[in-house]
Amino acid sequence: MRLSLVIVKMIKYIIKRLALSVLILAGVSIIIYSLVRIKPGLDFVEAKYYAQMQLDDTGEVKEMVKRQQEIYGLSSGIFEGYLVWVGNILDGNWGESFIFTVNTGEVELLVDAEGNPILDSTGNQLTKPISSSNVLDIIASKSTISFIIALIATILQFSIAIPLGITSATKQYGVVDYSVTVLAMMGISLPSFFFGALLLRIFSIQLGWFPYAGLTDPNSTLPVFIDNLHHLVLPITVLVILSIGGLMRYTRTNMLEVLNSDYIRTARAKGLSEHKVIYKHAFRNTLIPLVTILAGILPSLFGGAMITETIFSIDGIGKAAFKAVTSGDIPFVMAYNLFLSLLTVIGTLLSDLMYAVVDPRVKLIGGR
Amino acid sequence: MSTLTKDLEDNKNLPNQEESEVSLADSAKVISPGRLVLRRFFRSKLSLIGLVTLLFMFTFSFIGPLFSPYAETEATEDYKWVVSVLPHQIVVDEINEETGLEEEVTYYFYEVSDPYQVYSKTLPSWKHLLGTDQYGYDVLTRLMYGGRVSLLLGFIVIFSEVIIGMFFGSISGYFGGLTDQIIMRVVDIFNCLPGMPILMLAASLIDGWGVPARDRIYYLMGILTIFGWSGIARLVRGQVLGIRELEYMTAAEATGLTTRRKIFKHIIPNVMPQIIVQATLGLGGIILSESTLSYLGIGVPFPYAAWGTMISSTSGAEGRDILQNYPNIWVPAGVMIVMAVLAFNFIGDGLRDAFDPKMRR
Repeated sequence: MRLSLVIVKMIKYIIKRLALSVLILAGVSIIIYSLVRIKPGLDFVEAKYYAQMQLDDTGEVKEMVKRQQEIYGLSSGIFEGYLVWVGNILDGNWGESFIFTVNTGEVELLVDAEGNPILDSTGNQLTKPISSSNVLDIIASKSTISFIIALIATILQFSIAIPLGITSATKQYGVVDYSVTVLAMMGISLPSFFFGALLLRIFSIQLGWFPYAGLTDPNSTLPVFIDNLHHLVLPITVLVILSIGGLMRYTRTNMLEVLNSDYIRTARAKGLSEHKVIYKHAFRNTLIPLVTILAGILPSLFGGAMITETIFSIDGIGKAAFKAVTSGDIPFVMAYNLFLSLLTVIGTLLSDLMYAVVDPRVKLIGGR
Repeated sequence: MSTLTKDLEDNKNLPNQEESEVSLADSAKVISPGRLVLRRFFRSKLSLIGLVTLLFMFTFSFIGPLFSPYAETEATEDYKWVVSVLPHQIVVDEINEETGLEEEVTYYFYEVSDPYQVYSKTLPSWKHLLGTDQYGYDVLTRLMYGGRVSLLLGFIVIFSEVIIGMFFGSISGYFGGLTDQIIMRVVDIFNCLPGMPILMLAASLIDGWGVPARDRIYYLMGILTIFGWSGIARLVRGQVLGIRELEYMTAAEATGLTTRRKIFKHIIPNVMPQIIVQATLGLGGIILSESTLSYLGIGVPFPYAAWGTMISSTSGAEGRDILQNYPNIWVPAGVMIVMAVLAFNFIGDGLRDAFDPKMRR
């Protein structure tokens, strides 16, 4: 009986949160769309194809521009345009990138003018890979490498930051605490572009330990997998050092709070060993607030690292977004922003739910 | 009459008070909460380091240029006139006059440009303490002007953010209900926007507005403010929610104060410590955002100096050369950014500990 009540409550809560998420996404999309639309003069499609439109005699380019404008609702007013754009997005038509194309993996069977298959010398039908510039396809294909990098970086980040945070909390105001805090703060304060350049200068140019850019080296004698990892050492270092500080300080604060609570005093009074007090009683409770960190992980896992990927020339989604911004590929930039917001919303939702699951004291009804 | 009796009473109490003061004078001293906070702030070495660093940066950026013999965009005399030569080669089918046969003839010609100035990047010397960059500008002077931009922009942006955040946060927390719902949903929306990508999108749109380079920085401030106020609003709202329930607010209600007075005289001052801490920590973040945008070429525009732009010279056409051979052009700017952000973080942390009554030790 009681269990079913809990489940009903849970479902109600989830539905309420989902409705809220939809509302937030609607707001986010309004902001992104108006940012693009408030620019005076030519809209972004016309601006992109302006020169071609002037040279165009056949009307083909005009036709294409019109078709593209339709997708983003550029031919109507800003309000109607927004509705058109959102409708297209819900249909899965997120627009086409101006500068990127990817192979979808599917192939088109080649036929001649009469519709007969064209065969090569061995009798197989010739095929042509189908390329796509649909922004969703591009996001999907580019985020793989970004995801791998982010996953490794996140695992490293957690396995370094949490133990450091705990040590620093148990030895509060000690030498270890101070040095860890200062190092963590330095990590937070480092701009990624400066740190990246510094690492390149020292470890790649000066010492020659790591490659300068990219993901593979055709001249390398190492196996492909090892070669890739070798290329990834510096970018992952940047990501880990920059993000370790926040998590470490978060762990430290939580741990300090738990260590000051009554049940820890009880545990000590019982005569438990310090090791047991910290790792069995205190540490487990610090994990609860860490669950909220989940919300922040999701966008960084799939969203790529714009600056770091650009510096180290890794062809992930972050570098693509950077290139898109600098070359006026607004369709991709809009889609990328929307994609990241979607990840943030899902992350927040997940972390709220996880919080309710992990901590029995959290009441689902009323308040956030 | 009443004042007289009060005086009398006071007089009557006086000896007693003096007595107690004398007896406690050696063991306890009354200090105001403000002094207590200051004392606790200065006890922490890290916040002291932060404060000293910040003072140094302000002196360096705002007073330094007065003593510099060079201007922000003043190129050195040290340049060369250069012409660029572009070789072309075309192959033409021509009838050989001797043989009468058609054969391929290759013509070479060179396109020579008008002479132009090329400034030589230099390493540190006594004339230019940090050398000169690829445009012939004095790096040390540029560093000072870059500091002006970053610090000034940081303070203006955080000030605007605090004003906006405080306004919406306190209204939201004080009135609750539908007002709260609407404002907090807007805050949620701004919180879910991706930080850097949306800033980049907005900053790249400034170009479309045809903004002159001089005014670009004002637009930049506006963008950073618009996408940054939501955190402070959320913080203020949470604090106000708690304060609203305290007994002294019931007392304020009973004395019939106006809503505005209650919010600005009685609630806001109590939220101020948290806001100051948040603002100090936020300043570092704003400086990072600004320098990142400048690094990407959509922040403070050339020829104006900015720390981010100075580092971005490592990624341009001469990037590899500057990265490898002229660390004097880009490393100081990076060190300045780290120092500024670190100083704000140290001070913010120190303030937080100093304001927190639980942290008393």
